[in-house]
Amino acid sequence: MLQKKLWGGFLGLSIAASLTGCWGTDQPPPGTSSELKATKVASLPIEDPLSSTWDTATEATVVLLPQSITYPILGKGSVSELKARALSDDKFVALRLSWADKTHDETLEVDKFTDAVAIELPLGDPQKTNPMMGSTENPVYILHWKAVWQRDVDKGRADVQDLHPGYYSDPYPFVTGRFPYDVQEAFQTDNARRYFPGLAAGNPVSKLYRRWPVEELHAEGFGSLADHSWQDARGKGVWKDGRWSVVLAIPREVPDRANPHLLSGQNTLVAFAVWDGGSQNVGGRKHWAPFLKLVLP
Amino acid sequence: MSKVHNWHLNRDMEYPYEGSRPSRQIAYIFDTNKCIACQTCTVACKTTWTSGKGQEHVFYNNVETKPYGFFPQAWDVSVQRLLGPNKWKKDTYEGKTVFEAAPPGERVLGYLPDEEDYASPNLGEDVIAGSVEKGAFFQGMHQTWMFYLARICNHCTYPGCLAACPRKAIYKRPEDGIVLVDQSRCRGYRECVKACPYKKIFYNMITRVSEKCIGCFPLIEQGEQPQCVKTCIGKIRLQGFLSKPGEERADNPLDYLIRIRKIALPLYPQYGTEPNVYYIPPLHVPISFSQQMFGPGVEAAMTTYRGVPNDPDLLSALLLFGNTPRILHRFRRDGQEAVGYDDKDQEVVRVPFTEPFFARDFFDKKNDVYRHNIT
Repeated sequence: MLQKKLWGGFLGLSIAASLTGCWGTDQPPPGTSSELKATKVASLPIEDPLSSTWDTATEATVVLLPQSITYPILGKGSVSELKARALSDDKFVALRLSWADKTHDETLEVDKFTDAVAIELPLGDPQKTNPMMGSTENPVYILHWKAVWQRDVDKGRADVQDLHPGYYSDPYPFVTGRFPYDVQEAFQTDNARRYFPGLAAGNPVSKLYRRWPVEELHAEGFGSLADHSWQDARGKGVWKDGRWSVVLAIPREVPDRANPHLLSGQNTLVAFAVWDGGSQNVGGRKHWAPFLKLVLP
Repeated sequence: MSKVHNWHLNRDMEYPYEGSRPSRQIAYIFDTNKCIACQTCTVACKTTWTSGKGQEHVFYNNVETKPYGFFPQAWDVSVQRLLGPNKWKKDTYEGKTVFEAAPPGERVLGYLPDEEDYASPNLGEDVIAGSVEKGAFFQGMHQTWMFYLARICNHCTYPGCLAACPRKAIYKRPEDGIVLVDQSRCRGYRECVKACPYKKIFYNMITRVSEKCIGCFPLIEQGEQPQCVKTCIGKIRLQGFLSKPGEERADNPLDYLIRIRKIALPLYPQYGTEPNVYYIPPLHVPISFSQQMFGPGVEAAMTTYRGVPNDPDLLSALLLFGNTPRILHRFRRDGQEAVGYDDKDQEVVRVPFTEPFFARDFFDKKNDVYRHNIT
């Protein structure tokens, strides 16, 4: 019965979208800006989300909604809106997203979740693309930033001894070095890494090293999220005074069919998602906003 | 939601996916009356599968003392509290399962344990129910009770973990019903950890994805029983395959003990996942507690179990426990011996009802030593 209700809601959104001619842009939530206009600059401050250069771009307000279309839903939202600005140069289109979050959630344990943000762009016909993770006919490109990945980049990968300072363990199989056996240094052989099942299976979530705190993905519907074999995007997040400011930089043209080709003068769409780790947001338990027009210089 | 049949509940129930039973279902029987909580199974499993960094708190197999032992802390009482009173009418469950009681926007009723809940796997070990009165002494019958409950993944017919995963990264093998997490697809959302009512799926803080008991499938595929079964020194365990309901064979030891003689019962059948680890219920535990834990078949199972000395066929099946590493697909009684056969129908074990008795001389002339143990 519940599933019927949810799909009923989804179908309602679908019908509304088809009646108005496209997904998302015609009827964004009240309070959302009409477009996000990128400004061209000579040098992008990708690694400085608080740079004054971002102030040269027009700010757009994006109203966020709790995800309630598919299982599992986010019952109650804790983030109501984000502010977006866009800059570009010849190589990247970069968005600086900013939202209020009282807690800085960057660790992972069974009951701890990370803050995160993502943007989504159509890969097929923008007017026929479903902002809820796309579809087989019209897939979407997603650029995802997580606070835990930012921590990995800034401070080194979170390890057991970071999360549990008082812990002790005998040597692990095939480990080298001394306790506490840093995961980035003491497990160098294939045999040692076999004891990290996700890593041994090639799961990108289990990677021990990250140069950038972002991941490029694509999706063709709910549950289909998959990472790109090549990762060319950039990003950086800073939490200051109860507010996240995160830069997500998409390469403008890369020889990858799963990347959007962001050509000058060709506008596209961008959708948003925000996760509040302190409120146990994860996966589909997120805040989202439908497509907004992205104007490229 | 689809309608599927759950034979533990003796009724149809709601489940997010269509019912699709494997051709044969991996199943286990644990005899709670024989378990001494030596944790050999726990160590065998731990050293085989979860000795990596990030798996310190992960026990695919654990043995906890009931009623006050839990791993993770308070797992079953927490689920019971969420689910509310369990209503049975004879053999039919009239209450709601974890699927039927799912809150709006969720597929499964569940909860996510706190990190600290995994910190003390042995908390409550050997704690008895009730207190011993001053001046009490052992008179041949214990006045208080406890028992050991060995636990692994139940490789449920209708897994809660699988139902809850939004990525469909958890799957049930059609050839043997083993439930696995695709380690390459999981993104660590922990919906499965929240949904599994038995809390037998774990989050690995280093790999950042979920993991669970894999049923020792590399051994299963070679016709051998899992590590926790083979290493059990109390011989409390038997692993084999259950046939589909209605296709039971009296010469399949699992079918015989579970479906035909009904001596082994599922753990918390009211959750609705149709778990496939079956327990011979403890004899010395208050019946109301056992019934809450193992369902309405407890009294009949205990009566059957007490009659084993006068039931040679049943005794034959029970003597197969712990006496061979091979998976038994068929068994028979040959006079005063139990005989088991593997998947090629080759005899792989023969167990006498009574072990032969040998008495040796106190003095060993050959080695010029006295023997301490002469039997």
